Amino acid sequence: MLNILIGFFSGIISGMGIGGGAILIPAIIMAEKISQQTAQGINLTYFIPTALIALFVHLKNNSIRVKTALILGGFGLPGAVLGSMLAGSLRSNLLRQLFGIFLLFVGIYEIFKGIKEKSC
Amino acid sequence: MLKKYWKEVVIGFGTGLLNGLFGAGGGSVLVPLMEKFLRMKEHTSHATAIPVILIMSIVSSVLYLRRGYFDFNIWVFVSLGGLLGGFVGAKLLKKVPKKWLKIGFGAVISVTAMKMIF
Repeated sequence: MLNILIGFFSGIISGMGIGGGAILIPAIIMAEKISQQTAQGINLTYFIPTALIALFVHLKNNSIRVKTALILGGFGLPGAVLGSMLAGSLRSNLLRQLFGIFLLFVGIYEIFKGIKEKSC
Repeated sequence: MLKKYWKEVVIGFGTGLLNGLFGAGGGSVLVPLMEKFLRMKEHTSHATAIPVILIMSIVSSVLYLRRGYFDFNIWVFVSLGGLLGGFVGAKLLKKVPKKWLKIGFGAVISVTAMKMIF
């Protein structure tokens, strides 16, 4: 099924350390007729198992700054609650456009980062 | 004590807000902010971002699912592909030059973004 392919390519991108959700959400929207909120909900849930596996690996390697992560996460929680409630209060079309603007910033930033990067 | 960690508080809250609002992109915001303002190195920033985004995503997922913003069918197949893709991606990471990956990826999502806006 098409969705498996979409997931597969997003997974590759995530596996290489760049945000896979940026591709997953637009791709699902093009493949299926669903609201922006539903696509986002799928992405959020899809991320969890993958992140758990990655987390386990990084914990073993001691790569994580735990104290910082706890503070960030702790104050991130109210932010997440507020953000999720906001998402639910907007029309799907408007949220889609806002998402697009956000995505544009991310895309342009990635391009600049890529240009600055040294080629080996 | 909070005064000492005000940067973490602001960055954490802001990232949570964006992640909850857009259901994605938390990492794309968090990693550069941590590197710039918390002076983290690339490897540490990527690793530390994971539990942070994970916590936020779990909370956001619960809220989204409660309102029905979910499709089990789509999710199952996407997740399947994602697990496979993750393995492939991790292996490919060493073979593909990051510079062109970022430029290419950035270009693709910029174009996609334009289509979503208009």
